[in-house]
Amino acid sequence: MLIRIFTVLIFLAASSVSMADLTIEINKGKDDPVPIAIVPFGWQAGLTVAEDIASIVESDLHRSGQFDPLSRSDMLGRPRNSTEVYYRDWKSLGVDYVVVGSLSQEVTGTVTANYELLDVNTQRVILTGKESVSTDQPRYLAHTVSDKIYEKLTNIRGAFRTQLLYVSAVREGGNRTRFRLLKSDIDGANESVLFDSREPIMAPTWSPDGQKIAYVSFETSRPAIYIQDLRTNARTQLTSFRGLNGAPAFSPDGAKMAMVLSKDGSPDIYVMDLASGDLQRITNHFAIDTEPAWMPDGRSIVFTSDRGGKPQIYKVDVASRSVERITFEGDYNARARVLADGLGLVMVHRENGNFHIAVMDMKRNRVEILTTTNLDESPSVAPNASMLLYATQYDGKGVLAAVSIDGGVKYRLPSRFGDVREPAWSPFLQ
Amino acid sequence: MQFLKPLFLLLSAACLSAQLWAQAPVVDVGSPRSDSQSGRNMEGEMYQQLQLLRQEIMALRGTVEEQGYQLRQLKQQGLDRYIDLDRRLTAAGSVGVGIEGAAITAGSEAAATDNAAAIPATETTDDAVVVAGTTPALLDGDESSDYSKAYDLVKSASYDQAVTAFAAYVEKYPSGRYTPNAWYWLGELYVAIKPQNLDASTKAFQRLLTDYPDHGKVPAAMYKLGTVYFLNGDKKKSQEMLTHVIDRYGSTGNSAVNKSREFLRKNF
Repeated sequence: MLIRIFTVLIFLAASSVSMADLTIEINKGKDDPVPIAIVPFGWQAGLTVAEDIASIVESDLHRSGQFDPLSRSDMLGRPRNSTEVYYRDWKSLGVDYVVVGSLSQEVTGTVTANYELLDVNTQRVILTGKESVSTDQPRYLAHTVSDKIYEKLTNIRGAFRTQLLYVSAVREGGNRTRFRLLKSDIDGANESVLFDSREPIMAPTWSPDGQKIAYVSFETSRPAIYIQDLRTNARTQLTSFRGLNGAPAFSPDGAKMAMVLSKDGSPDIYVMDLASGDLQRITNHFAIDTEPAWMPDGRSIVFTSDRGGKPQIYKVDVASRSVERITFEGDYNARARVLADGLGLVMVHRENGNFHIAVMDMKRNRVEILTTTNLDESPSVAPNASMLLYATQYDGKGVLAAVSIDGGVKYRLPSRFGDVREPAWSPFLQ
Repeated sequence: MQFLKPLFLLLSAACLSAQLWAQAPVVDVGSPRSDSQSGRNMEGEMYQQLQLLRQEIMALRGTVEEQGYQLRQLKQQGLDRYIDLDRRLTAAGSVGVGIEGAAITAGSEAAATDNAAAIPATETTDDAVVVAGTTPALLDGDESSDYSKAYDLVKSASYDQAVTAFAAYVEKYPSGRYTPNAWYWLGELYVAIKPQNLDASTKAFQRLLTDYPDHGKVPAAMYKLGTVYFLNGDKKKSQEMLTHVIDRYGSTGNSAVNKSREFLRKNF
């Protein structure tokens, strides 16, 4: 098993002062990652780009666990395009693929990357690409290149241009805690504060188009669900019923919101039409029904219920309201999230008294435990279903961690300040 | 969930007790000594009883759900067993000759291919014992028993006899169900025998590629053919073929792709 430590320092975005910057440590990689060399990009004379594009691509591919980037100091040359590449050199270094590229300014205010992916063994260019972004988004440019390379080599859509929501809690003097809802790129960079409160913030979630988020805030001293528009930052209070208002989840078409309300007695699953505000009660049981997540077809919702004496995952058909139990392995299964293909669930699963993240194959009813740490919670899956994020404890602090869906790759995103929890991985963003 | 739960319990408990308090007078009327103290006791007791009943019902529901699940599993297992048995009986009746071990992987080559899936894995019948006594290379059965006889020779490493058997097989069944597999094995075997017959091997692999371009063995055959070209000293053709495997099947995860890549890395 390969153990590597890899740290990326994230520089704070100038726009916001934040306390909870994330660092990344890869603690377990795939056993046979593909050797690849990402050569530092050349650049047009006079052009300055604020970031090292090749280095970001390198980190992205490394973090996926499926690639083993060659260290720069081992490179024998710094070719900027395929005509400058001596395949024999790279072959002797044992790499299978080489990425070369250069940056230029074709239109004022933009930066353009021309890059090529080369297969060392067949000695051919297998991908040629050109991407332009405005000069203030160099990281986005790098993540775009990462996505294209990842997709070409794995046949899986890359998710390096996605973002992450999470909640940090920082203790301040006098028994007070400061809660912040934060958003960052998936590598922890470009962190910004979306909402700041002295009362708890919980259950952040993305709309399917990635333009809005919803969460629970206790700012009015009782829980209420809010929707926040990410472009304008405008907040709208969606619910404030008596009792619980929790666990919002946008439907796959973005038109409805599933949630947990206890206004009629015990906590049950409700669905609200966002345009009309019409509310429908989906489950009705004296036990606790909570943590709804939509199936990708939008016709049914999975949720956690202890109606059978122990928390287990159930599925309810939104139209007929018929309920069916899904999980049977173990005495605790909760907080399910559905994979994009609808064939799998990730959830919190208890085994031998420890809480782990597990993935369940819904066709074969097989449960596989992915994490080895204890007290793991709140799994959230990448839109390409290659990895998932979850919250766990490390060194007595709440940290975020990631694991690949096959369990082969693991990394941690510990915060430098306070506890972080409840990660929400964004959908693919435009 | 973990820290929400106590909150839920509190809330539901609060709702419940409120409802019960409201019903208090009904209880009082029926009780002989209706002072407020005993009324409150009764209510407390009722509340406790209700809680116990709920817990009991939830536990029972859990048991019923789990038993229902186990029942469905048992039904499915029963069905699977029946289908398996039915398949074996049908196979035993029609084939008459056992095709033993077709699904067993012989050597690393067979393990690396999906060969086993293409061959029906039927049980040995008593007839197999009789057949075992006769000359195995003699093709006197039907296409599947003949194939398995030839394949048995591969497994027992009797490569020269296996060549004869597979050569006879492709002649007897020019478009049989296992003919592509037979061509594949011929290609492999001509390299395994001593002396090697690289030209015959090349022809066998080429036959598979031209006659059955969509067959599951094609990527493996292409890879093998690439290595045979290499052994034959034709490095250019070898490289072309292996590169083609990577380009054509790179996205399918076929094991031939990695082998091709490995071969290119080591030899070019």
